[in-house]
Amino acid sequence: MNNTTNNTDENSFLEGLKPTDGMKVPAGYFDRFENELKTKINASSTEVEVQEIRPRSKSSTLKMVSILAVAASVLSAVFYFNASSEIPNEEPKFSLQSDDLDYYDVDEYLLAENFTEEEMDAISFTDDYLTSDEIIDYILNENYSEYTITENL
Amino acid sequence: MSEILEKQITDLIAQNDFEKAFGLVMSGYKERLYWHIRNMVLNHDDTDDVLQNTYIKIWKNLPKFEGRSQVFSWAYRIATNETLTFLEKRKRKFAERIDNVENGIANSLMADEYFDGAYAEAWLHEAVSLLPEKQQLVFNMKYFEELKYEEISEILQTSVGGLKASYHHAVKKIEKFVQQKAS
Repeated sequence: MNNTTNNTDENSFLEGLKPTDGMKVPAGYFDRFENELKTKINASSTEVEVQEIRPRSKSSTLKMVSILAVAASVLSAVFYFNASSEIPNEEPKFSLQSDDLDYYDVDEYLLAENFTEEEMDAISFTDDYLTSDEIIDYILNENYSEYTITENL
Repeated sequence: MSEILEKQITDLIAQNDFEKAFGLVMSGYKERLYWHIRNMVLNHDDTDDVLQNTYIKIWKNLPKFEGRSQVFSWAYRIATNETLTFLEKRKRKFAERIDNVENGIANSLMADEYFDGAYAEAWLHEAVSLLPEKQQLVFNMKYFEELKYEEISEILQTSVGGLKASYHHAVKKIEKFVQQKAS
């Protein structure tokens, strides 16, 4: 009810102002409009779009360079810390086994100084020259204590 | 709006005959859309630009029309959006040109070659142009274009109650403005 009353009051106020269609349109505007618009639509559909290529501005280049520099430093930091964490702390595990010994692994000068040619021909790297008893005897003869041996092993 | 016209347009869209459908949207609604835009924009040349942009958008989007609302409401919504976009751009331009603001819209209208109304009418248009956009739209559609609240509700996607409140506030502000001018 209130809305109806309000609308009635509002309309009575606006009735006094009711415009007398002061706004005008150029003669024949609506008749021409359709054809003009169709021409415009046809023209826009046949238009070839040419994309403008502009030179890159100095500020945008600087911005890009700074972004790349930050990205590069972040990446190198990541690689550095990853790489250092991957290095094992322990010593490399390798040892020379007697079976791996080859002629070329032995110092030839040392052999030549200490062995005759015949002796050298007779050397076989697969043979055991000392028995365990001989080693123990040698140690005892040389007065090496067990403590010294185990310490130096 | 004519229900027969609406059905003809939607049938043509369903048959993918967009050119004929567009022709009907043009012949059937161009004058109403023109006045809808003109009441917001006020001068003829700008209205012509906005109306052309509106119809180009309608043409481009006609194949996407899903029929969830009437073609009339859909076209009105496009026109409204185009008008609001235009007004926003013009507002920015106006902010740079102080002389136009000082002269006032009523004076600009009186100097317009396509306006031959009285000062009271020019003041009314000035008063409307000073309202918030939503109130302007509601007032124009109800007062000048004589649309029903239900139709405005479909176009602006607002409840009828909200529209009535907006219209009431708009009238009060216009009344105050015109009384000040008259005194």
